[in-house]
Amino acid sequence: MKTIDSIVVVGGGTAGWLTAGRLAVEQRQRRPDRPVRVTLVESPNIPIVGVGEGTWPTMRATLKRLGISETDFIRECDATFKQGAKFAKWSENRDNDFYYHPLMIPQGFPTIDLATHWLSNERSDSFSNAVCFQEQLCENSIAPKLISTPEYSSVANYAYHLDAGKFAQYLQKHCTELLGVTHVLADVETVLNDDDGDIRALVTAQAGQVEGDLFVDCSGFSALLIAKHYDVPFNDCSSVLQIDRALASHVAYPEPDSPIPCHTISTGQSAGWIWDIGLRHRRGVGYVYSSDYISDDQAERELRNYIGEHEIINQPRRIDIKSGHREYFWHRNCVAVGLSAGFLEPLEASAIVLVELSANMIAEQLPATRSAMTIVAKRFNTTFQYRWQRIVDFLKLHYLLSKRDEPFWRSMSDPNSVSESLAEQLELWRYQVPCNHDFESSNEVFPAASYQYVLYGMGFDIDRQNHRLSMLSSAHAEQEYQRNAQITQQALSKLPSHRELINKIHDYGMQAI
Amino acid sequence: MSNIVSLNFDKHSHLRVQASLRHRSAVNQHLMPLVPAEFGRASTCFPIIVTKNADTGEFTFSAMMGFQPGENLFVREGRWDADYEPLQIQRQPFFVGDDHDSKVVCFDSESLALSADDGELLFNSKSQASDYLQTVEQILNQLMGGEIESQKLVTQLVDLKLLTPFSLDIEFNDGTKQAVQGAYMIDENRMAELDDQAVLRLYRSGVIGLMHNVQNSMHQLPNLIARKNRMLDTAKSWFESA
Repeated sequence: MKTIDSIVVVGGGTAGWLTAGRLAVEQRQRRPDRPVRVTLVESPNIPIVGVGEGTWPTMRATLKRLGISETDFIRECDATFKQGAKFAKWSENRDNDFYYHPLMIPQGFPTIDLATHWLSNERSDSFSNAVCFQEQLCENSIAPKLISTPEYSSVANYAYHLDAGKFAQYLQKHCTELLGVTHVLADVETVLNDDDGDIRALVTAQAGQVEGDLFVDCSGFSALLIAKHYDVPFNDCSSVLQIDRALASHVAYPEPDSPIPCHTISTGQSAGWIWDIGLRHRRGVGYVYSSDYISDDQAERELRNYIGEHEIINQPRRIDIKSGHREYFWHRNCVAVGLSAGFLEPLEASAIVLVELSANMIAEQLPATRSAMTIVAKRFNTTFQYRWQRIVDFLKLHYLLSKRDEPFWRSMSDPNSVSESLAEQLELWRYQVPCNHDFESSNEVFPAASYQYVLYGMGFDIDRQNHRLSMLSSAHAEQEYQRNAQITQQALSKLPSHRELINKIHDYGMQAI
Repeated sequence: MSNIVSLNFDKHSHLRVQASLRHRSAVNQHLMPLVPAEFGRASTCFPIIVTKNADTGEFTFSAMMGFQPGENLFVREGRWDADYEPLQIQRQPFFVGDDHDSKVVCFDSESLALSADDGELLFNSKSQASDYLQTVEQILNQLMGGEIESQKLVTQLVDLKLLTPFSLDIEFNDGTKQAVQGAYMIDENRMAELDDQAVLRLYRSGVIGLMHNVQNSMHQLPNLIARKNRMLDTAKSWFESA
């Protein structure tokens, strides 16, 4: 019986190091005496893509599990805190059009569903402002915690913004020095199969043959193993999500102590949207667009127009993207994680969270033998096919409700480009609010609350006559709104500015407890 | 109110300090910072706890003198009521300030402990520092050195994960409840798990002794609760007799 004793990860970007680290930690805990060897092979000649700069709150658990100090991570990766996303000019193309998708569930949810009440009453406040205190923190560039809050603990839920290049370097150091991952700098030239068709070894230009029992393809868009070697088909999603280009740049702050926004800002443009992410010393700003509706030159003009007077540190760099994912991800003894598995526009920071979810599942379910691997692979594929589909649906939802009239937006909100699953849910939500019953799979990626924030932020039209509106008494709802207003005031008065907290973390560090 | 002035003979030759009033500045302070050198004596009077500096998040050792901000149970009827007076009180109203590159003795000219006619003179007739001022200078030196000692100690405890958070829920005699949060103490289980080499190292560097001081000081907690209850009882009888 063939046992699994050695894992080879191909690619040294965020996906490669996160997966290698996660596997190494799990194996050392499970089999301290004889842990599975983890080797990461990275080309010394291919730079990492490195534009993924936003994470989910799951990253806190991931880093903690890898044994990383949050203080070190923030210092080394220029990381900042992220409390959600602000979508500007998505519903309509006017200056004061925006809504928030914060990282905390609505006040009282799911015991009390304020959404039903909010919908049945004409409230002047936006949905997210009425039910969650994070919009105010974000609008005022306030941090989600205090310097005395222990590492990875929060006052308000948070994720991170980070410098992807520095993150990969930091993970490399941590994984090789502390987690026993072997780092091989070499270009993969050929892939050798065994008699059954499994990958037996990689032949490299600089380091000879690298053998393994499981190969993880983190080689980015080139998809060396899953596509070039195994030719696993690509499930093209570009008819649903039409964005196919990115222009990424770095922009300076006007002053060294300018406020750092504590959320991702996503602003609708004529043929796509611009991301704006605040790190400690610079912003990452980029335009993702559909080349069917705008020329590269015109896109660059729109991007420069958005940046305005601010100094551009790194001139816009073009990246071609192809929306979609592999039809399946784990084939024989090879599993694809990261961009090799697929890519979708970075609207809800789904790229890194998919890496974390994949790494977790591989680490936790890594079979002891080759024969059991086929079963795990099958489950992995079912799980991630579902997850990719749900992410595609959720991203699509952001466009569907737009009232913008440019051709790109009209095309993106065309009901005919919607999947059956999303169409069904939208029909249901005309009569009731998204609730946990709609999301019962243990493989769910976005919770019901996220759908509420997007739907009601975008002004989703419900059937008022027949909607299953509030069973909640007004007095009870009012109590919850007031509780939220109270928490908002407390948080605004007690929490420091985002910039101040980041500076203090660099000066003093946070305590682990 | 406070007004910071640097001490100099020409201006302050007649200034006096009433040592018995120097604790007045601490009347609203429920946590009094301590340096390791005084843990032994302090542990016989107060619980010694670790808290985080609100500005920096760094751990500091303090004598617990009350259960909430603004409460110091060791000032009774205006008098200092404990066998030991922490260095942070003894130094009052003086502290070390920066004058360009050098350290100078400063004081708070609004301090209640200052007087023109009562108390200890700061300078003698030969315009030298009086014995009293010399003692104060020694204390200030001890505090400066103690801060470094304190940081070293914290670093060792944090590195060995020997601190653990604790919280208290107390009900006083009058029925009021008080939660104490944000405090840390020595983790005894973790201490018991230390390997021999680590223990020897901690013993030789004096850390074990300090840790015992901190642990023993926890026996002062019931005394502190009793002190608060006595205060509440006194207040109650005062109101009832009135």
